[in-house]
Amino acid sequence: MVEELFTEEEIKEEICRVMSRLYRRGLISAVGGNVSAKIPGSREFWITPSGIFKGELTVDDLVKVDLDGNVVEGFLKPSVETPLHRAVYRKRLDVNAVVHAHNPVATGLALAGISIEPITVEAVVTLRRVPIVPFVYPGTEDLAEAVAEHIAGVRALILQNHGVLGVGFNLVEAETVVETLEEVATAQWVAYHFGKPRLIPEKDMELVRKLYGI
Amino acid sequence: MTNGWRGYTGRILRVDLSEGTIRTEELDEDDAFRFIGGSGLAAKIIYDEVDPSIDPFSPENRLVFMTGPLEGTIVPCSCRYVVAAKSPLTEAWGEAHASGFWGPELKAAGYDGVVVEGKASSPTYIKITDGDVELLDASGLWGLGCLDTERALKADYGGRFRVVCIGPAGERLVRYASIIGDGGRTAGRCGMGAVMGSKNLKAIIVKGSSRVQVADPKRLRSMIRRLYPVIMSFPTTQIHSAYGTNGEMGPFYEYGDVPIKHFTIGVWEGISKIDGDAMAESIVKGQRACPGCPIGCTRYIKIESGPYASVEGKGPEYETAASLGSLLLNDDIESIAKANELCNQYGLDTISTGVSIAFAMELYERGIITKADTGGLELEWGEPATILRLIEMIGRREGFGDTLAEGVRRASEIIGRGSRRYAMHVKGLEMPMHDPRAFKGMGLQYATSNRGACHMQGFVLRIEQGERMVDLKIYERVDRFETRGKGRIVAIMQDWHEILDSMILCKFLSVSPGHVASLYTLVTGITLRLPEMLEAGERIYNLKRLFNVRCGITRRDDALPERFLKEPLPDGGAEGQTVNLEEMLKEYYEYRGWDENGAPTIETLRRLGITEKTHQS
Repeated sequence: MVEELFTEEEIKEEICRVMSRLYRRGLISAVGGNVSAKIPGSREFWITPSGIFKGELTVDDLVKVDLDGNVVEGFLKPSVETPLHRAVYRKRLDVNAVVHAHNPVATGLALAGISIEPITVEAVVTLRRVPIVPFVYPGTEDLAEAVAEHIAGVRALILQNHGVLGVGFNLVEAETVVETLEEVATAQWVAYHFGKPRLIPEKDMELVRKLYGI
Repeated sequence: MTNGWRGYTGRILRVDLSEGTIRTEELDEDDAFRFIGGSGLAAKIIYDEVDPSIDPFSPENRLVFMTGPLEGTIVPCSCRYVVAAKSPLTEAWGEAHASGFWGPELKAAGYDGVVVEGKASSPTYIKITDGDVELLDASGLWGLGCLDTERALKADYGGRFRVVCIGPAGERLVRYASIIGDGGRTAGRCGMGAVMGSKNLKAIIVKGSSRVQVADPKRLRSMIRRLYPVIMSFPTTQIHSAYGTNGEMGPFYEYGDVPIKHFTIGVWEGISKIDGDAMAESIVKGQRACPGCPIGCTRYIKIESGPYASVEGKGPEYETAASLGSLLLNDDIESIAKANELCNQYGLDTISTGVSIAFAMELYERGIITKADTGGLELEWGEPATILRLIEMIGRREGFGDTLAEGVRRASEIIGRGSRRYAMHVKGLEMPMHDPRAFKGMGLQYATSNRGACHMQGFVLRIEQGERMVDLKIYERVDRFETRGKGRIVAIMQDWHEILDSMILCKFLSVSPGHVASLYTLVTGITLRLPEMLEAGERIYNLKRLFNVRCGITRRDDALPERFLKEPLPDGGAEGQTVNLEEMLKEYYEYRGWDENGAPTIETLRRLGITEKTHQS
């Protein structure tokens, strides 16, 4: 008789709060970016809708979808990236929240061929290794497959020519990953503008380096 | 649960199997605060009640199952139990831990713990349904394997009952018999299953319907929700989720940490055939998690063809993949999975089993034992059929298996002929799968751990890999081969792990000490601050040590096998290394406030509020 950690109502409210915060931070745009979350162990998840302004979502806008792609609840069209979210949940039992944002700096660095590097403690502890998924057209099953191939053992991906993906046990964690990614990318951008970033010494990141191959 | 307790249920179940009596005892408030729960409360009960001079198999020994105050709440990774007794392997403090559904179910039934004493006149099991407790005939279950016992009991009573039980090894008093529940979740170490067997107790099954009361549920929920970004940032979290604990075999191998051929070599190409990647690509079919766990490190495996085609269920952990794999030069992952399943059926600790088999194989290779000793069995390294046969012989105490069932310390005394030199244990408990020549602090941890060679009580190698523990004032980047400074760090980490084992929290999650104190306060309503929590950890550690001192443990027992002290690894990531234990031990005793014989001084005991007991046997 262990109490449930989340309720569906809490999850739906949290999705709207996260979308609002990401919008204010400029990590999602008016119609770009989507978020989903589910109760641990559930085969259904709540996701943001497609094609409407993302800065003012309410719980009534959200759509409930199952892992086979069927709409279970809600009247709006689910996000065009629903296959990508489904792919993550199918691959990762430990993930209950997926944030797909359009982080401008992280995405821009990847376009220039620059990976996230161990420049701060957060980069090492929170992000570790951030693979770059080569361009696949958004909204397709092919993109979902490409994400599934790269998502094992990581918390974040950069989707080339597209945006980023952060995952977590809950929404706060997935949001933290996406925000940290942009913070680190921005610091790295500044460092590259003026020269080349100095990395944290290898001996100080030995554990994470060996585990995640960075 | 309508009493004033929050977090705790406030009740401990007492079962006397000799008398056939059952009673409930109130939890003492002062004990709860000073010893937290779990391992700490178990230590208090055993210290107070167990005469240190008794035979661990005598009815006077206590078998104490305890849960933690956070268990059954939304605090992640708190679904664990500890079982403790005087150990038949070490003849001193013994404890083992397991996760799963049994612990929270016991709390839902209204108990923080179960203390079993006496010995039933015939095979018995305990059935707990909320406050209703029955002692029932287990004759029909006696002889069944653990996994089969659980299936049989669930078939009789329904899946909602949670089971912990012993197998044939526990029944036959194999000194490293384990207790198993939830389809293979194992309280493995120190022979707690043998103590259970000595009491003629086959199983404890439990079903409960209460919810644990929480002092401040709203703030607890809010805090946990916001803790996830940090607790999921523990370095191993995503690796354990993706590959299970065996996902670390590769990095451990790079350090020279993975024992190969009974701790004699450091390089072996078979590693890539048994590591987490190899498992993922062959036998792993899915991932499983304990209740409330955000990681899910358990691998669900299934072998679909070949000689081990029937194997299905919980897959081998890192310790098992090494103890039944690299330690024996066995690079067949499917046979390791089969050996793991056999150990789970017999109810055997896979670590002690693997080390006992490796001990025998080395003796055979050296000609110290021959086919005349083994009943005609050739003990060739890396031969799966031999390993599986030996597991069965140990589990049944059959032929040469009867000698190995005593554990390597006693087996070496039985065999003689200089075999003692090759018995890899501390205080009688077989070595875990981390070579202390790769991480010197682990050597000190093994030598001083209260339950013998224990890798979990401190897991100091994390610090030696570069982890910092700011709340514990471990700020420095420590060299893994350095000995200076390790005394302090090992003691601090051991005390911290007493808190984790008493709360009880899984060690694969990164809840910092300061946050643990806050969670305890929100759950129980008892304000606990970091310094007093850490002092409780030190108190628990010293109380167990005091029990050991009274069992006859001295500085002489705070030792390592000679191999680690005198035989450098010939190759690999720890090439040329040996352990300088004496230097670390001296520093450790000084830091702990122990005398030169390894006993806590009166001043230390007074500082921690422990009064020396004058128990007369």
